[in-house]
Amino acid sequence: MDLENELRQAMAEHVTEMSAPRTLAADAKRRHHRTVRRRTAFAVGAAGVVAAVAMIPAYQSFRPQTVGADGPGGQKHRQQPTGTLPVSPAPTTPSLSSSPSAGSNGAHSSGKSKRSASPQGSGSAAVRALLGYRPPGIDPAKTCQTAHTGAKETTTCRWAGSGGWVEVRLVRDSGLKVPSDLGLAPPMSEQVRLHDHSALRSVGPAITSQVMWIQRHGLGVWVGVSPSLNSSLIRVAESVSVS
Amino acid sequence: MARRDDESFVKFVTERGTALLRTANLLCGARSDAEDILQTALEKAYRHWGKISAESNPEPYVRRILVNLTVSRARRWRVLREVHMSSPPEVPSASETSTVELRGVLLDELRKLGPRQRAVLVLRYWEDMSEADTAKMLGCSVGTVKSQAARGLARLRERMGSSAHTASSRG
Repeated sequence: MDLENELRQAMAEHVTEMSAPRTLAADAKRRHHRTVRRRTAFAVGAAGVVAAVAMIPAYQSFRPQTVGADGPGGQKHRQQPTGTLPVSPAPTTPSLSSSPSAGSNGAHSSGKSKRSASPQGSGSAAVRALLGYRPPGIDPAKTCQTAHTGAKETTTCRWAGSGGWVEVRLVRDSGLKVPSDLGLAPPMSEQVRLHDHSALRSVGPAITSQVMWIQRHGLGVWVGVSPSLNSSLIRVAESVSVS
Repeated sequence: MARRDDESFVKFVTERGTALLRTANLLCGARSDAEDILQTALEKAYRHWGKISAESNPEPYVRRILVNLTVSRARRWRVLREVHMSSPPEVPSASETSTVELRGVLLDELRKLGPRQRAVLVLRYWEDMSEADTAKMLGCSVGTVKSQAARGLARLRERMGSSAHTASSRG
């Protein structure tokens, strides 16, 4: 048996009735166009994802940061450190330069219980502040805590980083009428205008740069920065918007 | 240098489509797979059709794509060890034309060979390509083509031995 010839014959017999469909060329072209469309869609999608991922750091750098007190049940609870917050009487001068984060072992549970007992905390609407400008070298992550002293509720948020730190306090007390009522005014200060309100700004190189004003009756705002950010104080304070 | 256009692609497929489909069928063993592989091969060829010189024959190029696709696909499916058959294997029965029966068995045995060995036999004995052209098409040496063809034929002969003997005795 001549196997090669048999193989030839077998193959010829097997395919002799086979013919290509008339639409073969059109099908191949259609398939090609479909592949091109699919690849284009994939490329566009991938480019979109890459662009979105690349935009995240840029967006983080300029988006307004939520600063402050949400009131009872607000979002700040997620960012508060666990532990016990020492609730101390409001100092006349904030001592911020020594500690990077006031009350790092602060007490959420303590603050919460005190707030619930506070008429100011339990009955008032949520207060929120936005930090529109974050100086270079300040990380976007912040730590927040709330402390109560009698009827006064103070929510403190702090940003820190290689460039120093920024701290914003929202003080709620029905007795607040002028900036000095906040109990945070430095010994040497000057009157300035901020957000169309009369504000007190610290004077003197030895004191933490700070400025405070009464946003509305019962709500005061205090903004302080590390000495390295003295020149940015007013810009930071002006970027704070309270709602 | 003149390049090929869309019209020449349609003309080429119209003229050579059937021959290519037959080769594809012998290479992969099943009609449905053959059409799918041929369409894929033509799609790949169409993608670069404009780069092919108008003076040159595009068939070897398309045929090479076809062979490569068949071998690649067979390798991908190697894990499954699928043996494609145009029809379910039949129980041997007495036949008046033993030669026809033997050819059917021969084709079944051809499908059971490895993809490269099958490609060598199809190109050598169906396409009547020389050993050098087959080697060029498969991207291997002439020696490899010779050895693959010899081994493939030996395996067919070995597998056919008992079938041929049975068929002969029936005939």
